Amino acid sequence: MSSSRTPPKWSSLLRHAFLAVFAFLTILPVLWVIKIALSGEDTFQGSELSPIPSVLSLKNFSDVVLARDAQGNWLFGRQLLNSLIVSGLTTVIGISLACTAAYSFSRFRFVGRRSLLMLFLVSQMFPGILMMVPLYVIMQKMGLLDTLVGLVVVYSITSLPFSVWMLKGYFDTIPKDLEEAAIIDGASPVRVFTSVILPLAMPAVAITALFSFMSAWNEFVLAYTFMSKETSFTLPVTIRNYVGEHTVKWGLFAASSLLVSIPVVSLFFALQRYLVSGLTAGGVKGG
Amino acid sequence: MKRKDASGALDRALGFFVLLPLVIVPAYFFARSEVSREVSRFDRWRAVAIGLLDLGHEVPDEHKEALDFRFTVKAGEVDEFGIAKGTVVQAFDAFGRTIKVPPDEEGKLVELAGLARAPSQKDPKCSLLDEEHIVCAKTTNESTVKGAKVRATPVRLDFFLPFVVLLLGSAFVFLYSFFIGVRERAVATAMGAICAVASVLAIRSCANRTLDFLVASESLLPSVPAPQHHLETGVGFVLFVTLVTACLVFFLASPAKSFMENIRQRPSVYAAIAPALIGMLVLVFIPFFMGVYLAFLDNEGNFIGLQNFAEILFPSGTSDTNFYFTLGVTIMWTVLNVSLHVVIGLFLALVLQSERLRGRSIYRVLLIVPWAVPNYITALIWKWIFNTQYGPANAFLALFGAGPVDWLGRSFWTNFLANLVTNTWLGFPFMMVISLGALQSIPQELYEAAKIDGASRWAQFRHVTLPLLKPALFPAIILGTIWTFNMFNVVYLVSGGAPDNKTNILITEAYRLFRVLKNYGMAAAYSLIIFAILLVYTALTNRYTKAEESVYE
Repeated sequence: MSSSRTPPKWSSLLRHAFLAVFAFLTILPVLWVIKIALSGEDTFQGSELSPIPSVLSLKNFSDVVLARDAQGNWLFGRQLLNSLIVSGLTTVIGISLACTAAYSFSRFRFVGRRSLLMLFLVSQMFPGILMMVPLYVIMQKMGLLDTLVGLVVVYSITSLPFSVWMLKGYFDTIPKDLEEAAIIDGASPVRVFTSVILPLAMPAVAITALFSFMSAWNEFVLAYTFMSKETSFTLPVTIRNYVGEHTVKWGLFAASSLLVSIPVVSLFFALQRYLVSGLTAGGVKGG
Repeated sequence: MKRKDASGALDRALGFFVLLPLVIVPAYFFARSEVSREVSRFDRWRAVAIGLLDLGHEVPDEHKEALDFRFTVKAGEVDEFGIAKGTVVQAFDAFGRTIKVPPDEEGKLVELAGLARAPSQKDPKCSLLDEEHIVCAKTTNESTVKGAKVRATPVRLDFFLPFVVLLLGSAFVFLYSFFIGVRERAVATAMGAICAVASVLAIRSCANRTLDFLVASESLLPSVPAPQHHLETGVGFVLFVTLVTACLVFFLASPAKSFMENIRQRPSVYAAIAPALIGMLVLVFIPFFMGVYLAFLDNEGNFIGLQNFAEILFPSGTSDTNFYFTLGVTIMWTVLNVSLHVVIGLFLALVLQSERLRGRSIYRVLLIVPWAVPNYITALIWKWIFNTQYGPANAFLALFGAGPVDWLGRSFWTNFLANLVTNTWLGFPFMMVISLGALQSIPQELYEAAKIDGASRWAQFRHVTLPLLKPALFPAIILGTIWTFNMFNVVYLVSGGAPDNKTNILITEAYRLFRVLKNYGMAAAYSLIIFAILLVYTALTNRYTKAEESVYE
């Protein structure tokens, strides 16, 4: 950092220079991906540093979007729909379960509260590989293998501990007086929750929903394990498969990555103003 | 003791209803697993005993090295003597390779004999043809394939009686506590124990009946002596079950009671948590405990105690990537990553902090791009960047005339560096956002006061900013450490452990055991060790944060 004696003008110029360079470096990989995607070659082999695309071809995008399997099923459409359904439902179910649970944890003192909260926290550290085989067996027993419902159930439950802790931390910061006032005014507990607490907790709810959505949208290990048909894959599985052991289709990878990233990145930016308030007041500080 | 009122008795009774499954269900599963193990051992014995009928099939020379053969014979008719006729359809050797069936054998009608046995898909030498027919084959010294076709009755363990016992037992305890009131925990304890023992004994007797049936049907084959298979229920076993149950009931009786009291007082609270809790139970906790159980099994499903753990923690020394090497790499990986995240994130936050900075929000948006991009995509992008032939990393080096580096090749350090750079890019925005949030909450007056006192910028940072950042940064660092420690995607997708699994961190090594080596028991044991390390880490840091907090309060 510059010393305190530097005139403000210089200091701000220095800041801008530094930030500009750093921001450029940060988004450079993304620019490269855009360039590969637009190159029109499915196995991109160019090696220039410049992030400015020399060719503008949508061939990779059309290859990705129009891909069909042997039976003539439109893969991209199916998989996009799968991803949307799974992530959407995961978010809705996960958040509604987490909100009610977190609210109870935050507002009521009951037997088992502390130990349940601890259990939720500890379960965050359960190694995924340990659970993979048993989870597979359980899904098989319940007949949920190769179904979207199965993925929704697993995703929404496994995202619960994080969501519950985030939301509980945030609910804790909302003063109790507000609810008491509402109760005196004759509001039912459910109404207090939906019309007093939830609107106040919007930043945390938004951020938690965002993370639920992102984790479901991006997950590929479980999706790959549970789904066997190409038509029931979610998009990340397909993207992962473009980067194979021997042949790597960088062009197709780049194009599909961009297509997959666009919804989640835009969602992220739409909600990013909540990031600071949602995160710092909630999960990270909560306890 | 004070006389209990009726509602208290109800609570206790309900408490027992909650408690009982806790006691009986593990006992039930314990007994059942024993029984199924016994039945599967029985299957193995059956497969060995099979080489009785000559199928008249010569073993091809190129497959002589394989001792065991598997034949698939199309199911034919079974006559009244239990002799079946079938046609040879397919043959496999012990390694699962298809053997060409000689033309004169193909479709040939073979006579098969055999008897009822449990169809087992575990046994590689036997295959299930349809619901009623299985066939097993084995080569003899003369290298002719011999096989037996059997009419199999699917064996189902009959657990009707144990369920009745369970039901009666719980009803009994329920009634008991309702009418009498559980003043003496000891009595309740004894009740629970009796229930558990009774159900376990009942389960075992059912199992023995099933086994008897199996043995009886086996012995119809005259030349094979029927082995005695019975589960012995010794005094030790009964004592063990009694003790475990007694302890459980004794220590859980009172919490269970107050738990039930609570549920009755606040049904809505529990109702609100219940869906989440049930989901967690089925899809998180039960798989976890099943996984823990896996860690004590070998690949055949035999219980081998702590052997998996011993093999990991006391490596034989032949391989150079043992647990301690990987642990060292993981610690180095975590420390370097988290430090870089914090330093870069904090520095950027400080630069961005000034309110007057123009374009502040644009910079901020650009700088959190790495967080927004799905991390498996990030990892794969960086894999491309570090590509030896066409990756920009080498193109960049070429600007300075430096030769192409084989980043993801044979060198540990270049692989590690590639992983590190990737994860640094991925992780600093989180720390930046956290730091920004924390910086905003520091009151401006403190800096003004510090300025009046003549503190330099560095002194302000050192004595005002840093201490006040700590409460927000510390939990974030703990969280970041856990994430990085388990950052599967980056290591798996960028270096993939190259060279020779040396850059693997613990979690990717566990995955390798699981996916590549297919050693599920070892993988589970490995994961459990990772879990233990994280648990200890969180417990220690938790204590430290609490101590810190109390200092500030």
